[in-house]
Amino acid sequence: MRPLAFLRSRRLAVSLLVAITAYSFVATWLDPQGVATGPTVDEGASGLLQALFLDRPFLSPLFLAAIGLMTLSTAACAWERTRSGIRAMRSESPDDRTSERLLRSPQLTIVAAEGMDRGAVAAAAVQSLKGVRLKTAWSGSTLVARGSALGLVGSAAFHWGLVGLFVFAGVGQLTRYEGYVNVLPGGSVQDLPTAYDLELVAGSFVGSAYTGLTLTTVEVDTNLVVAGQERGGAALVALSGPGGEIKRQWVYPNSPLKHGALIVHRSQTPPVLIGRIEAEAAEDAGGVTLYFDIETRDSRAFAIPSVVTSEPIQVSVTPLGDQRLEVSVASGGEETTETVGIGDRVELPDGRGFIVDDLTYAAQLQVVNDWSVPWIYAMFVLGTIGVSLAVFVPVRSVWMTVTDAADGRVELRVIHSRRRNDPVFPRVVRETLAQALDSEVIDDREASE
Amino acid sequence: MTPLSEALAAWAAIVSYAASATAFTVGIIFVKPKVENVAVGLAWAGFIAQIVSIGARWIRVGHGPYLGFYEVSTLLACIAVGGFLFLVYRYPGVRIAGVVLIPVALLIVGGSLLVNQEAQAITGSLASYWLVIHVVFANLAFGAYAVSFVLAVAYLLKDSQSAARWHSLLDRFPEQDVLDALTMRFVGAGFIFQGVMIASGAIWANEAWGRYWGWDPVETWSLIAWAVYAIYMHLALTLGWRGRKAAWIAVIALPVILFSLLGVPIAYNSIHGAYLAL
Repeated sequence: MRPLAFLRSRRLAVSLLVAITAYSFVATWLDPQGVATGPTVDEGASGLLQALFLDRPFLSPLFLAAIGLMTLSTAACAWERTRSGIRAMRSESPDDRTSERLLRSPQLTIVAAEGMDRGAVAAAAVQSLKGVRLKTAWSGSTLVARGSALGLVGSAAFHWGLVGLFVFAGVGQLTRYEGYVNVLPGGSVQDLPTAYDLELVAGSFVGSAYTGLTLTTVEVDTNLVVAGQERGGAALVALSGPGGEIKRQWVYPNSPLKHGALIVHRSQTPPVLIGRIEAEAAEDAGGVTLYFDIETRDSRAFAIPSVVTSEPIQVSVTPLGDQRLEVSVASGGEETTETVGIGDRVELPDGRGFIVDDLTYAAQLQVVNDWSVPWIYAMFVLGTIGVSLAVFVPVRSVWMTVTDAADGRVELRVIHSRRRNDPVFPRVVRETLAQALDSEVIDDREASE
Repeated sequence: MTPLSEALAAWAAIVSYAASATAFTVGIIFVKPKVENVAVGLAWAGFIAQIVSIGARWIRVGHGPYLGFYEVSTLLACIAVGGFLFLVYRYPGVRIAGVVLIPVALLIVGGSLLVNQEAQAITGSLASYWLVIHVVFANLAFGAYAVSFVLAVAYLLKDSQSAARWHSLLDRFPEQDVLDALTMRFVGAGFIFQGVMIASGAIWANEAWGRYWGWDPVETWSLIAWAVYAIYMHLALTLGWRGRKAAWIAVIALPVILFSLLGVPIAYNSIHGAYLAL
């Protein structure tokens, strides 16, 4: 089982943590947003980064391989801890080795005060150890005191939580999709890959996960107020299926529409111009829809072929606010600019007209289908509970036996066991028992070592 | 309370911390336990004044101290001092660590007055109860880590041969094995709190932005800081790195968490940048 021994090696775990930490530090400097290389990196360096798969560092094969190895290592550690925890929980009685060690070479030997018989010594030991939250029980002639068994499962639970997190996050990324689409008020789209004309990021194994459900933007509000608090741009979205409407709600940040694994967010509420090209011949007419950036409100342009010349007509539109637009028309080296409003017509060089029918706001919807999200949350909870138990519930055991000392008094022989994060326990045992037995004669091998 | 009253309370905290730092220094150098008691009392006064200032602002602006560099840094300082005072209550000998911690708190609170203190409104993606959970646990994590830093420094000082002339002072700290155990405990607590901070942040990000993780610099650095403390715990618990070695890691780790909380939003372009605007 050498591969397993390698994977659960502590040095491997620490080495991976150090490596991934250092890599992440460099990656945030190289590529702050996990997308294309920042402007501070010159072209030569950019090429090198791409060659090393560092242009998208958190998607690079090197990083993913390290995470994969970390997952396997964590799983091996979790398995080891699970086995040792089960073993420890099952071993209520001391084994032969412990019993022999207790008699021949105990860690601690305390001689009780004069006048205390064996029963009194045992009773005093039991009472004192209960005071430090250890449960006691007799196993033959050995008194066993143990802390809460929950501490035995903490580390295993934490590591299994981490494994689950890595696995669900990884598999989730391969099977999720995230699409962006602008939907005008009153308009609808179906949850299909063809609908996401703005952007679609889909994992390699999305397959036929698209629901085909219909998303309708019923209404858009540029600053929705909910319970007296401004929520910014919001869209009233209705989700429908073959059986009719499933759900409808206002969608804004922190209030996404959820249905199963589907989550619909309001990404933006971009201003939109709805217009048309008016012409005598139907084949020369058409609709125009222009979406503007809600922050910058930069101009948008479109080009249409001229019906009289071979040179296309360039039309640029800039929102001015107050439902006014600046429209620039360029063709054949000539350009005209005018300010228009809703219902106005702009003459095009080829005799057609560009009509502004409406200025409104659309809902830019972000549609995510990710089944792994609740599982990831569950792994968070498992990991948090596990690490809390591991850190705060000490795993402590004390084995004692009562014998006769050389001078005729009664002595208590003790072996104790604790985790590395509990260095004060030996002192606690010594001081607690010495006080209980009113003793000044103590042979503490651990302290003397 | 008016903004003037809040400012007066903040200044009262600064003056108290300055006086406390002075008293700690005098008390330690001249071995005056009564002066040290006064120093602790002044630290309490500063802590209470900070709570009053933070609370009054909370009532006035309608949200807790988690938007803008001013609010975040003053709360961090308050939590660090609160953690220190709790430790002093449990282990009075630790109070001499105030000579390090109180000046740091003073610098943070004083520095925060130099930045924009205008209140930010909670709108859009900030309007969520996850914000409160996320920030509370971030501050608890920092407080726990700050205490572990103090304990680790105390351990190193006690362990240092060159600090022999300070041994009469250092003897007032708990035993080294107790310091070691306490450092581990507070690192463990900070690790748990930071884990909850990261998890709550991820849940909130999914509700607000549609993705639970985006490798944003603040997110990545919080993971880096968490990993640094995970390295500490692995080295201490599984490879036997206790005592001096572990103490050094706990000391080195604090600047990492400080940078992830306060430095990253300034140094990088981040989606989190708005909440820590200077």
